[in-house]
Amino acid sequence: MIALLALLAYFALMLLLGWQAERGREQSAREYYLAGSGLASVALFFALFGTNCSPFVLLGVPGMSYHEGLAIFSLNAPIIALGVPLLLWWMGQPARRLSLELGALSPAELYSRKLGSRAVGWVLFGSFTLFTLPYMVTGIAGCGLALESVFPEVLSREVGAALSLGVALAYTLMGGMRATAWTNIVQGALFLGVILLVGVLLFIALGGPAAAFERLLAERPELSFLDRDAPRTEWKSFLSTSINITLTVACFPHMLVRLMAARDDRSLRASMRLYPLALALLWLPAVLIGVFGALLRPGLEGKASDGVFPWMVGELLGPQWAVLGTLAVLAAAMSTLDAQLLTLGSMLERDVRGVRRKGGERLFLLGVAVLTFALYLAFEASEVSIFGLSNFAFSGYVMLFPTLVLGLHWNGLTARGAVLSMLGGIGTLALASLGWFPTLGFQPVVPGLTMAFALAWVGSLGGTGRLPRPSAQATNRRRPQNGSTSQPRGSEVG
Amino acid sequence: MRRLRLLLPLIALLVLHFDFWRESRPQLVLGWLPEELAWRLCWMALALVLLWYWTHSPETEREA
Repeated sequence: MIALLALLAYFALMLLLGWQAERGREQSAREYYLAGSGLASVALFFALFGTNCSPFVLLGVPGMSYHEGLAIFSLNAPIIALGVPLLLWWMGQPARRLSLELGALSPAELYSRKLGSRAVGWVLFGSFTLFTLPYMVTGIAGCGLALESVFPEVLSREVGAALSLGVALAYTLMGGMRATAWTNIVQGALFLGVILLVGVLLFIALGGPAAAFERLLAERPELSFLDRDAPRTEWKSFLSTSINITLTVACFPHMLVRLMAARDDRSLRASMRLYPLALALLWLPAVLIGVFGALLRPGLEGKASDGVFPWMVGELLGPQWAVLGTLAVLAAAMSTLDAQLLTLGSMLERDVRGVRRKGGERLFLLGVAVLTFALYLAFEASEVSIFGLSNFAFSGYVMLFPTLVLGLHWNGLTARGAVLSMLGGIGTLALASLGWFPTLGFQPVVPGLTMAFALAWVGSLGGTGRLPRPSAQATNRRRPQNGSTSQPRGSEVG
Repeated sequence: MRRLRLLLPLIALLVLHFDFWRESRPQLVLGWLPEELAWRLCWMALALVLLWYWTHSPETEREA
């Protein structure tokens, strides 16, 4: 009963925040898609943090740490904690500024206008869609699994997935970016709070950190250090993983659009400085839950270890509060899902359909949600794993990195170079994944990225491929209606 | 020169991250913290300092 009430309260709170976000707001596309470019420090931080953290951190990280120990923290957390905020800071400043100057509301629209080519927008839109839809499917699949585990006789996996998607869609439809920023504050605080609580209770249950780690060294010493002979830590694999996990986040369109919604550089800077601290607070307990889960509940094989976090919540908080683990997973999934829905909806409206009528944006969001659920049903009927689908999406995003970063920092990049880079990178990744392109022992993402950079440069050589770039004023004169370039109204979010 | 001041610590941190010369062992630092975890947490503290410096630098802060 407590579980059902907690779930209903969570959903009701999300819908209430969505409704509140809509009330009394200006009805413009910039307000809807970018919160009027007014996200201040706290809202921006939680929007970025919540969007970046998916159920992978709550389920996948403890699951991997269960088998591989503290090495999972060593391989991932430090490089994410430095690389992601550095890249977001480096890309966020020009992206935010250009979004205002060019009146662009979606990432594809930003680069299309910057490079003066609709082809760039189309290729970016296609690539973002290709990699974001599978990522969204993994999110709602996680929600379905989490709800089914708590309410096995009431909710099937498909109904649980539909319910989560429906609630995320409803509040996003109502309040757009502002609604997702507000809900992300609650969701981020919820999943961070739950995992910290479980981490603290874990040490209390084991008699304190000293006793806990002494027991670890006595019973499972192999989980307490980085084994240099393991395949995962071989230098080519280590380097490939580091490149993949760092660059992919900077290429998420749903992260880029958050950066474009920042109120000013000061908000962006404050968010970036908080990011490593929050990441350490999230990853450390996630890894420790997995490591000590291996002591407290040994014998889980393969993917069964993904259930170690919900099991630990039930053990440490008691069965009546086990729903908190489910709510944390839902919060992590929905905080990513809402941003993805909004971003794909904005690109569909702005870059493909070109419709700029009032209220049109909501129709496109609905279309994206329906398409996502249809793909989810196909996924459930297939043999594809969540990990496999995520891996496909993450590697694919990295192929867009040269275009996204050079488009902001190198004036020599042409539309031809950008299109060649994206298509060539994705093609090379596909060939390398199939074994038809030499990888020299690296993961396919490395040759793909190298090719993407090389083609961006080669394609931008000479003058024939260069398209005239319209000045900001000229662009604004041409497209003034919904991509309003007016300055933020000063209304602070958060 | 200013850009070099930003890049050199970044390169140093990356080298420290890919610490292939370091032999990690199952032992506790200060009697309670695994050596591997202590090393990575120290690295993250250094990274945080670099991040504050980087985001504060006039080179990367065009407007505030």
